[in-house]
Amino acid sequence: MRIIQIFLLTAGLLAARAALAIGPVPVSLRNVPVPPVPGLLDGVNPIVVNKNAAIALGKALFWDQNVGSDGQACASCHFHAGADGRIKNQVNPGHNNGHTFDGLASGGAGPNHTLSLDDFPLHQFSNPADNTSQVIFSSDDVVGSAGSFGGQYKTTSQFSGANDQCLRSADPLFNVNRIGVRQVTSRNAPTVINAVFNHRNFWDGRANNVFNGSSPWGERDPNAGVWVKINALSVVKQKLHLINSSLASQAVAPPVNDVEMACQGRGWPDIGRKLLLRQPLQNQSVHPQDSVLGTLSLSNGTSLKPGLKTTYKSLITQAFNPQYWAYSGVGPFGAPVSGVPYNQMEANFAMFFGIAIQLYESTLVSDQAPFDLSPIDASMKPTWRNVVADTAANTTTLVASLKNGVELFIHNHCNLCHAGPSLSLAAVATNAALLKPMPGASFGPPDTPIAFGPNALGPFNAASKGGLTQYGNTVTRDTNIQQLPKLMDLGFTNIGAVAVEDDPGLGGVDDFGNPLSFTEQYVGYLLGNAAGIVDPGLDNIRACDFISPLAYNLQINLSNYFLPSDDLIADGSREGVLRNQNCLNPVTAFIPAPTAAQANSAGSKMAVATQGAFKVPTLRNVELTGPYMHNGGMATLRQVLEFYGRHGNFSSDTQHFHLASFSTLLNSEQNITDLTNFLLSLTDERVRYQRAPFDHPQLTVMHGQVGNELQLTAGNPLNASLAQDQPLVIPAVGAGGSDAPTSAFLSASP
Amino acid sequence: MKPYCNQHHLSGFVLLASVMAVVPTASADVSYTSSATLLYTINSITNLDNPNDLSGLSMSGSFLELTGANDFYAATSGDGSYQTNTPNFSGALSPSGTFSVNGHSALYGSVNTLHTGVFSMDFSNTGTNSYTVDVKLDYWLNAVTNGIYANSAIFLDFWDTNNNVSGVDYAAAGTYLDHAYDSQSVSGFADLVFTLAPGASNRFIAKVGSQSGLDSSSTAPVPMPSAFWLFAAGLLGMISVKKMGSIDGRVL
Repeated sequence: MRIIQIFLLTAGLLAARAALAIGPVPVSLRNVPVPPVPGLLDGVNPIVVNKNAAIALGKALFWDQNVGSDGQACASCHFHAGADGRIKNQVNPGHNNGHTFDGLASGGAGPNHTLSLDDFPLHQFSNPADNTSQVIFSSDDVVGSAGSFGGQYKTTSQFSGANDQCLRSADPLFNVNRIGVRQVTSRNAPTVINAVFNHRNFWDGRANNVFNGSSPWGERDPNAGVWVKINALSVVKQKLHLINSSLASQAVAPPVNDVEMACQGRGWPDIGRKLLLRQPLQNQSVHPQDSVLGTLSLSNGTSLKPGLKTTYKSLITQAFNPQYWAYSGVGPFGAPVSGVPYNQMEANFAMFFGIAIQLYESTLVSDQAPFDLSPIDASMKPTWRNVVADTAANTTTLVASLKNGVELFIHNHCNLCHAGPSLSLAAVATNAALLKPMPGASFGPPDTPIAFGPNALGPFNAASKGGLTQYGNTVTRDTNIQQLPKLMDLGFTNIGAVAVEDDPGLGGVDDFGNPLSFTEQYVGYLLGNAAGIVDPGLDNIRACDFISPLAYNLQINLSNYFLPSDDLIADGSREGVLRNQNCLNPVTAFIPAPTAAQANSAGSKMAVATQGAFKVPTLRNVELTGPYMHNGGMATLRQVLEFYGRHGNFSSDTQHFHLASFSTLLNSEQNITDLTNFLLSLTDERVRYQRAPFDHPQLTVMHGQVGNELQLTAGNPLNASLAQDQPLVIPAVGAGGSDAPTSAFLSASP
Repeated sequence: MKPYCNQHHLSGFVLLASVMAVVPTASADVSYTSSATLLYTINSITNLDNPNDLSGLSMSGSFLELTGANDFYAATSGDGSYQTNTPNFSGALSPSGTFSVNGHSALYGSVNTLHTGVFSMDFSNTGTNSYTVDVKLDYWLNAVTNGIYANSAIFLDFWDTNNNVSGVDYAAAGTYLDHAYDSQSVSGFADLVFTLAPGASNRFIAKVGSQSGLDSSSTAPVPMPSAFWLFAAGLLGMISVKKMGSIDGRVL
């Protein structure tokens, strides 16, 4: 009996270690709560007093082309499964080679080029499975998103006219024969669907988790704030601190960016001045069955009409606490160069815009993909009982393929970065919330719900293998491609898609010179440099949750780790609250004393991996969200799988270890098919057919300029030196969606 | 040949109809009005020391339009104009009055205005008795817009200087295409009950701010009606000439 007990105990421990070794399993997004934003809708004095009105405001603003200085809506770059599916005039010259356009693999290039499958991938090897084979083509150009013509902002109209008055001319870079084209962003537009789960947004994380009400920078911006009416006679600028609000932080950047949506020098009060008295979607049809805007639509039956039967000002007064708009005077808010002074509603327009967009985008959760709806087995892997093909035999074949696809996803360590229900480590708060025990709370497929707690992302606390715990670390320590441990931001990795020097990503700095990364700030914390910490929470990182420990409080001989001989202190002792609860290995709940950190500041023990790191994107609806990677360098899922199979394009000191761990088995046709089938199972049909909540008003996107990359038709109404826009009308759809499915990028097969 | 001519007739008609469609079919007359009507009513006054004696207690209503930079602006263009009507707001027991702001453009112009008025009811006690005063403020806010495009909002803040009562209210109207008339009326009241000790005073204040604007030029691509008819006449002439040229198949 005793032997049996020992055997069972041993077997259990081995099973636990095996589960821990493979890390978190991908899990359903069903019933996963979006991260809470304290103070936004709750409390005695909430900012938003009518959530439905705020969502309607956000949806209208997101799709309204009047938001841009020259016809660009937020949706112009996020209309296609939340991403950008345009193929013409989408090329940015990249960061190197003097910002000059390269020729692409098809032979075409530059402004107003029409992309084709022959242009991809942007970095090509003679053997796509081997990154040591000869490079047969390489470009640092980026497939981004066409935005604004730019220009210098002058003024705008309060009531009508889509375009701001700006001094416009042909851009010295974005032109064909000196006829200007729209500028193109230097990174690919990621999907907004499920972006609410990201702790930070933008590829480099610069959309801060904390929304300050007026800029993307959270607490980093010393001038940020919102105007609060104290009483009839006084209004003061106060700091705003809304956590889990990186969507709001993100939303307030493009409308004042002169590449994406604006003329240079346009401020948020100017956008308020332009929009507040207007009908939302003034020139765009709104379907009468729109899931959010239908009751405000002027359309009826099959007769679609533009605009809503209200004004932006009216929606704001319905949605927001009057203390943010009801001050009748002017004065402290400033004034435009010409025109009457700004009022409080105009002065706070960035806050209204950011919060409304965030609340709308928080509804864009795709949690009904076949993967989400599949029951799970005891190891929390999908059974695929919900999958049906055209014949019984094909169903059997497809289920087998899907099961192998999941195994490949896990055993090639895709799961270690694409973790949790949003399939991204960047969903810090959500992943942590699911891992925190909460009696009675569950999520996941209806037939087999998953309890909140340490095993929510896999049996035997498998989540910890990915650095995930209920405590929500934003920094971890993991290994690089040479298996050297380095501190890095959880949810941001360098996979080697492009050369590090092409784009620093997370390794860059903000507008104030501070590092974007949390890792650099955590290093500052370890060094005792409080001045270097500009984001909250960096003094609450749990060292014992790191994937690779920072320190061992053991008398052992290990390089690259802080040891007792370095002078260790208990993690949390500096704050007076030890961070050693629920540690898998309590001897790792230690950090170096500041003097020890300073003595090793240039050494391997304090090494970081932030250069060239980018946010781990969600994989949901990935079938529809190409082109892929932050540079848009790959057009098909097959190209992506080949990229991982060859361990990336560019190796560097900061490249993540996981790129080394992909099995060459990934390169077999069957495995590529199976893994692709798993990725296809992440598509929510509501996204594919633009059904609620993914329905939308009419949108006219500027799909390049009239002409081609060699010759343009000048005479844009904005300025004679600019090329005419080539419009592409995306029709309005109601809650029932469209009969036509959304296609993959370039209509390519996976 | 004949069908060819008919086609030109049709093209000319469609073109003319298109041109007419972008010219306002009616006058560009655009206006806004926002107003606040206030009434203070003394519900009761109780002498806590000597019933029926009101000696030393004084009350008076007043109105003041604020014209400082934080409370007033006015900008017009074209034939845009504005005017205000200020109330004769006085009396001790039930002062009332209406403060209103109007903007107007008949043909081609714009107006942007901020006007602010303060209604006050002052109480002071120079006597030796203490009083309890019960005063009610009734208010009616009204915003009306007519024509494309106009927007008007009127804000109300009320409070007393002894911090017994405060509140806000708001009415607004806005027009846009297919919605050439809009109005909103809001009414409410506030009761203020306070004790006035010997030598004390209190003021019950209602501050009204009107933020309004209009722009008739946004819907009038041809500034002067005569210009439109000149253009249309010329267009008809061109159609006629082209039709004649096509009859014999030659391009003139």
